[in-house]
Amino acid sequence: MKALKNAAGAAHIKWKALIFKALPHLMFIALLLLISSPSLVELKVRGAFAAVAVMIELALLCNWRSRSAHDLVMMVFAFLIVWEVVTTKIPNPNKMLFPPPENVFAIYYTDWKKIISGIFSSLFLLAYGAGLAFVSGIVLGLTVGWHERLRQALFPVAKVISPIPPIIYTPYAVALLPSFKIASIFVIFSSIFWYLFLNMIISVATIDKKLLDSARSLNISPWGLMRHILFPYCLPGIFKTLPISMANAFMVLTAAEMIGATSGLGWFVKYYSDFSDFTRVVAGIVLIGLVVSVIGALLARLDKLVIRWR
Amino acid sequence: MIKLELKDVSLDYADGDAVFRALDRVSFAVARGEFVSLIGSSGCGKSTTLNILAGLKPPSSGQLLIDGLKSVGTGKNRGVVFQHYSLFPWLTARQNITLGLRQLGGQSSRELSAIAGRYLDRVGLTGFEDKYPYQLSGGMQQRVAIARVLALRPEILLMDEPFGAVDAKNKIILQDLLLELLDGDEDRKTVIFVTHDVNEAILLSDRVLFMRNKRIEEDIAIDLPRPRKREDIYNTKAFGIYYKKIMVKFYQAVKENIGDDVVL
Ligand SMILES: Nc1ncnc2c1ncn2[C@@H]1O[C@H](COP(=O)(O)OP(=O)(O)OP(=O)(O)O)[C@@H](O)[C@H]1O
Ligand SMILES: [Mg+2]
Repeated sequence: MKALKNAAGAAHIKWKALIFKALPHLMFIALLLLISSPSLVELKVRGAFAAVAVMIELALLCNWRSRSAHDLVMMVFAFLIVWEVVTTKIPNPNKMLFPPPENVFAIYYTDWKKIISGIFSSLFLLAYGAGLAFVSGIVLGLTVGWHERLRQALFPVAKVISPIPPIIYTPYAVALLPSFKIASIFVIFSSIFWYLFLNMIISVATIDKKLLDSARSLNISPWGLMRHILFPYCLPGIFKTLPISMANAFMVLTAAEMIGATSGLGWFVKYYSDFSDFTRVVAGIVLIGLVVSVIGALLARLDKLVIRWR
Repeated sequence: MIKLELKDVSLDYADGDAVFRALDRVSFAVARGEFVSLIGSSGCGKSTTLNILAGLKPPSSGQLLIDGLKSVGTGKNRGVVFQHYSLFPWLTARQNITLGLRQLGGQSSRELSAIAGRYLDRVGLTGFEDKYPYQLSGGMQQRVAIARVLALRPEILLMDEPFGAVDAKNKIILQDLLLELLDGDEDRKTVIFVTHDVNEAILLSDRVLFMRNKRIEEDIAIDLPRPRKREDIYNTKAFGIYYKKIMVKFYQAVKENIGDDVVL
């Protein structure tokens, strides 16, 4: 009798787990049903939104073992369902301010040319500015951190400049510098450089004395010391600041684009805000979120790949 | 022929406004090919002496002479094993060794890699060549550090408690390896070896310098024949006499209870 009860209990728990496991898939089906059911507002294309839902579902199916993917997809679907219901199934208080997801995702289909060129122009500036900032930040940081006298002269300068948020002087840089490209590269550069430079100086100056003695006892050359000791010693710290740096850089880039550009993701959002075309504005915001997340994920992967010594 | 010599060397650290003397007018000379151990209780100045010999710390006064010439800074003629393992965490065992070898120049990286593999093999770390230090135990890391310095083949070996963190079995293996390497070399290396282990000091050394309170208190010659074999040495009467002699020095230090950092 008791055994039977226990078995029933176990079965109950199993059922619960199974339902939980199936939940995102049930939500996916619900979302598709919602998309295909009648809407209170006029929808241009429904296919793009449905395609996005299918893509998310496929991504989950590919990672069906991962608990975090399961939870994340559940949250995304919940958000999409609420969005869909609020904007299309109940009377929408302001169709312009609350665009339905069908119309937002349709933008990626109708405006794809503008969007692709926007992504490329933003990423080009980002790569340029960030690349310059990383190379010079690392080289100068190592050199200045190592030389006592240079460090004492330049450390206070870096300490004063690095906390100034570059977004503050972005409008000024755009006005001051001869072209928008140079201005945005400059602000991206400064949003990464000073913080990195300061961090490099601190970590080089505080390197474990035992490691330095060990290196010196091997009669390592000054260049070898930089390349094989100081640089790898600082590398995990660089990776630690990387996501914040990139997010900051993206912030000032989009801000600069809103002021002075004629293409790019920030420009896209700003341009359509001026026309009160909030469908495109929301599409642009979602896209920026996606691009930043993808960059972050790639950097995290690079971190794992490079830092193998924990 | 004198290989290296400390002449009246002192080292002072600034301690607020006062000075703290970490080494007090130490003088000794080491002949070429000689094996000298520094022994003494904690804080008596052994590591400090070794760091000065390595050229890592300039003495506050006095001189370090190598081959009769005043020596400043580190040099390729000396190799160091530190008390605390000092491998580079971002390099594998093999890379830790080749980094040192590369500074000597003249060989391709494949050759260096092969040399590193050979020395890792000699310290019993076959199969661990491509592991990072965090994947090795403390004793294994210390063996990599020993392999690194042996691979460099310096004229002078400076070793600070190299077997301090090694288990008894591997300690025997490494001591025997060191004896074999040194005795087998017609161009014998000069070694300065810091240890807390009295047996080890007698087994390996030609001379034991007993340090106390930042000074050298006694210079004990170990007249045992070479090449040495552990089995032969341990059973000699002389071994017992040396052992007693050194232990009496420690015993006196306890009884007089002065000087060195007192451990409670
Ligand atoms: N960087 C330093 N600054 C100030 N004092 C120091 C410093 N390094 C060592 N000392 C002091 O110098 C003295 C000698 O230290 P040393 O490291 O040579 O001792 P040791 O004989 O190697 O001891 P152990 O057997 O514990 O390793 C100690 O009293 C220690 O406190
Ligand atoms: Mg010591």
